[in-house]
Amino acid sequence: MEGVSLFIPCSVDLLLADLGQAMVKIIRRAGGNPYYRPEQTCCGHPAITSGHVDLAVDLAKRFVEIFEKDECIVCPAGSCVYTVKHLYPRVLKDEPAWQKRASDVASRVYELSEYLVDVLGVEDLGAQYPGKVAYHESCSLLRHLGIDQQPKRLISGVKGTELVPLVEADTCCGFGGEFALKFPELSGAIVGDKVQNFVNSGADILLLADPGCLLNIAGYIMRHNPEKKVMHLAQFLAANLREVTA
Amino acid sequence: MIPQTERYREMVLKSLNNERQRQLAARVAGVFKFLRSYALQSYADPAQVMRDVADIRARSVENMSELLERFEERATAAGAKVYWASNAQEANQIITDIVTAKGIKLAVKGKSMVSEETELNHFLEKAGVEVYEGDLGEFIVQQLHQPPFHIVGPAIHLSAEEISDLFVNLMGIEPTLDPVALGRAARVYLRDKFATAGVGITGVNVAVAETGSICLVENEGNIRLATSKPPVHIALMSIEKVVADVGDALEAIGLLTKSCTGQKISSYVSMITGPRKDGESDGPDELHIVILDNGRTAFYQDPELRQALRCIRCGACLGVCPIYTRIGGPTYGWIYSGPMGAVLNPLLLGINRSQDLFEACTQCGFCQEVCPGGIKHLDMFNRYRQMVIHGFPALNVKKEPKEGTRFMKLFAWGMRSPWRYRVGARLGRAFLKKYTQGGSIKALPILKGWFQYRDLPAPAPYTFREWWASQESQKTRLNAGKERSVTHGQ
Repeated sequence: MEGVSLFIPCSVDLLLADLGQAMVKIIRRAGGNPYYRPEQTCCGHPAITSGHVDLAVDLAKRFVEIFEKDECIVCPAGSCVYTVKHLYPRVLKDEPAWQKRASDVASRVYELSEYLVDVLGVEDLGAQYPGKVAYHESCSLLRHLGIDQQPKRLISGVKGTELVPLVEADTCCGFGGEFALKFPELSGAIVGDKVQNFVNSGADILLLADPGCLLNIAGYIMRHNPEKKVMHLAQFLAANLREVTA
Repeated sequence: MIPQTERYREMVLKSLNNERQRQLAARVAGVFKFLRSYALQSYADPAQVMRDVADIRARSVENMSELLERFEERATAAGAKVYWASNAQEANQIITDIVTAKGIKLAVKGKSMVSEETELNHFLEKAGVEVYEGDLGEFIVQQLHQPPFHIVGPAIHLSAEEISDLFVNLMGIEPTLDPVALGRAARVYLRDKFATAGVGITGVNVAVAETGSICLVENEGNIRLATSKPPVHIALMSIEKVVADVGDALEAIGLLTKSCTGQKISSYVSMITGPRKDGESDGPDELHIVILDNGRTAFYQDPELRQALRCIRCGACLGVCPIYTRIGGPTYGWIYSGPMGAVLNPLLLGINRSQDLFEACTQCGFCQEVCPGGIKHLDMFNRYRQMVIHGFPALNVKKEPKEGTRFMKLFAWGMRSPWRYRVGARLGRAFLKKYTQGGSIKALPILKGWFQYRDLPAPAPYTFREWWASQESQKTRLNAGKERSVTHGQ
């Protein structure tokens, strides 16, 4: 079995443990052997993007030290993978030795769907769901990491599921971390449009692959469209796995 | 247009409440976004062209001073007169002096962002020169004393009724909603101005160092007319417009028109090298080229910030921006709007007074994906944020206390130790659970912005690490007595 180190974002650890559990379940189903390093905390994404880059230097170094020995590191959040791959070089720009170590680790960090499809070569996890889903292209996956096909292949691998088109699927959901707090009216308008497009799509479930988008859209739906459902792709796959008879 | 980037927040609220403007901003942006992606398909390899042009822009900016010197030399050799203006006031003065020295009372203009930047029209009018914008949209908003709504479609927010009312008053035509009739009326009205104007004033899309030429793209022929009919042509360009040679210029222009209006090429592309020469039938007697700095060399000294000068003003970033598409151009408080404005305005006007422009960003990265200049908008915005937090004397950026810095310090401190993290997690989760009702949190005494439009899903009953530890210990119990299981990563 392939050993794989779980890079669990703080948001998942603190609020969305079930997403982490779902991830463990599907990695095991796909033939991976996940393990977890409990000394991990946060990659520093909120500090970096809000401009407090200096405060993230130690967090970046911690990340490197914790994960350096791992062959393969997997994360269910595009934004945290983006942080390690694209923001750490900026954070560590004055310390070339650390920058080098960070980029070595970064080359072994994968977003979950990327890991399943590209590394393990698995598209059909043996899941079944009779219904319609739509897929929101999280900015962190689509534009920051260039991951667009892998999540859709995993959805196509689910028996009975129809992936319906979503208008403006590739535009932001309006989360943006600090942005949602500082410009609530703008953020609210953007997520409102996203949810309207989802409702119009006719899908039962909106799937996505980043906990940030998940909290934002789920939070909006709870208040305005409680009949609708939004899930992280990992939650969806894990919830619909068929029992293996062996 | 008097800069009012400080009022951004207030204007955002106004724009969001203006349902018509909101729908219009979205529709206009949607059209330009679609046209752009369609036009790009005419390249065999669009991604390669994007990389090539980004490279051209990067090279041009890196070699800018050398290219500008060569441009001045070649343009002068071709018979143009070249002027250097360090700021808006100087540029306006140079232009006004040329115009008034000749006793010219009427000027026609081609649409030019940089002349909006210097507020040239206002300056000329004060000196007693009548100025007519030649671009139809720009002409309409000029007559209505409004700022342009969109960089490419300045009057796109106005209805046919509003334009008809204006033309009835201005030209004495019969009221009509027929766009062709309205266009024809403007044409007749302006044709007379073109015929009698003493000077044509334009911007510059690309300046070619190799030949000393200036290139202008447009669709209405007003620039062609303004640069050939009046006896004097004055072109105003900012320093970053220069490229090395005609090859670079044409490749950049090809991507410019596709990114801008979604046209494979605009209806007119003019390449002007010097004034009319002996034996030529068209062109002005005199060509004056004013090269404007206006704060650009100050930030050029910084290798990261200078990438702002790669912008070719196509506006592709506007059409894809989730913020711009909700609020439209005028909300940005100055001539440059959208991600383009969020990059340029802070550098040209001051970081402190423009900070809401780059703070109001979801960091979705769509702008940098479509940018022909290869600008990394998110890096720029991040840099601006750092400059505000720490101050940046080289560009007179004042250090300002930022809301959230104290929290961020505490956050980073907590995250540096697993022990502190666990204590913080326990306290934080207990706090959240106190406010949880039936699967969600409706409000908290903190994070008010979040709860204005959203709930927060209730935190899971345990943390991931708690769950992991419990299932690991269960596994260990199951395995007790069997072979020692292989554990990873400890």
